[in-house]
Amino acid sequence: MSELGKKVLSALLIVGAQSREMSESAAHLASRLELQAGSLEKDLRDLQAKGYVTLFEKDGTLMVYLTTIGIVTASSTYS
Amino acid sequence: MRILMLTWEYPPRIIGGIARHVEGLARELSFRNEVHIVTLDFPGSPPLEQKGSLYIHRVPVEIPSPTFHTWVLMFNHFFEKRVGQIAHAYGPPDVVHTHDWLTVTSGVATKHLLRRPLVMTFHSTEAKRSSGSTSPESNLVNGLEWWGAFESTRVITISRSMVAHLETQFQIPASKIASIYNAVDMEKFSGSVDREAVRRRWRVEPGEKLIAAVGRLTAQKGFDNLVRAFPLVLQKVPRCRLLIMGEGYMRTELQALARERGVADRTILGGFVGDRDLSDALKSSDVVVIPSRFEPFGITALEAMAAGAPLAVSKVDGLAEIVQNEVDGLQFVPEDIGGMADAIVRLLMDGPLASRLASNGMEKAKRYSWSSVAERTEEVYEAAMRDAKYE
Repeated sequence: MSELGKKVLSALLIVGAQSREMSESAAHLASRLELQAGSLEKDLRDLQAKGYVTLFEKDGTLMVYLTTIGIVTASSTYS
Repeated sequence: MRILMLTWEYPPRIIGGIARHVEGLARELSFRNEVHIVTLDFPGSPPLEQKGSLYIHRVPVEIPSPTFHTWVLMFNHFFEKRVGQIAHAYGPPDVVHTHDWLTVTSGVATKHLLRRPLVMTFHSTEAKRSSGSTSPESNLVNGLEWWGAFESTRVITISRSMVAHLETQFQIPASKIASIYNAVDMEKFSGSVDREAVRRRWRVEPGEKLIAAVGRLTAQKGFDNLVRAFPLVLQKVPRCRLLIMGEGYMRTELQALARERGVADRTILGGFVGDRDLSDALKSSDVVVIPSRFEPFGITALEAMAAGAPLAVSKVDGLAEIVQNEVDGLQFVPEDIGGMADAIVRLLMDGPLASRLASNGMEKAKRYSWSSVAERTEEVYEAAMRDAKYE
């Protein structure tokens, strides 16, 4: 996994984005990672294709949260 | 007695070996004790689950954190809140049991707030995981581990090699440490399986051999070396496939390595698998390989033995204590790619050897029961209750 991919999963874990209700906007996530808004979309779609995150649109905003595999993967380096 | 366990992972939230350990231990303890587990929430799991005298409290973390380590400290505060609620609703625990550094702070707080003895199990250490890193994050974890060991009346660890490591790492007196091996739930791995159906599911063709491995896809587990060894195996046994089950950050790296070594079409990264699929895969394998660079215990070795699979393992730490070379498995030197390949080839080509080792392994696995682990852990609790001090 790319370094950015690891950072994305870790960031989602520590903000508690592990359900639709607790999802994070892609723009806010980019801001947390000190990236330009919109620059994360391709990486998020790649992480979704690999089963680590779920993406959905809410009021025109791209939202993201970790799947169970994403939670396990994000935690895996610390156990 | 009323036992309170603090753990960041408990099924179905399975990150490493802690979840399996706590699940097996708590179930056995709950047959004659009241056991409360405080753990992190997980999608699809109820906030409170009761199985007889076993209570599983799953806690959400409701405040975002800037880093992983502050998140750990934050979820410990939420654990403390839940511990307070449990003590109020059910009565205070007789003993508090924390697992690894991740729940040290809530364990220490509970000890002093409720004046109850603290027991800590070390499943690993930061020094082992990070190969002696002195980064600020590793220093924090090292400090928490030391603090947990210092505050605990008794310390448990999972192999003799870990006892020696803890004595050196934290200057813990040997009299304070109990070595209690992990165990395996034989029932999960017993029973027959339709090997051909399982192998078809993993795209193993008739007549092909199946090499299996399972664990977190992290550097510690050494799966990169297994992928490096695989082409050497194929030179001797051309018709075989490699199945690696588990998740982790190294997935992409392993895929790239398999492509680079020309074995991508014969290497399957099976992802996270549940108990049933794991049992079926182990029972349907011709050899199970554990190529770890370090392994405080290696619960997978017991699971493979229980499933009747021939084993090839790195000669490291706890693994070297569990698996006896040429008796119930084959050992190879860690990082010795050729040695690993030779061990795998021997097990694939020498049927009588593989059968003998697998049979011996299954007999050995029967001796590692969770009821025995629970009995020994209760003895540790009783010693902690007798000797506890709150200075």
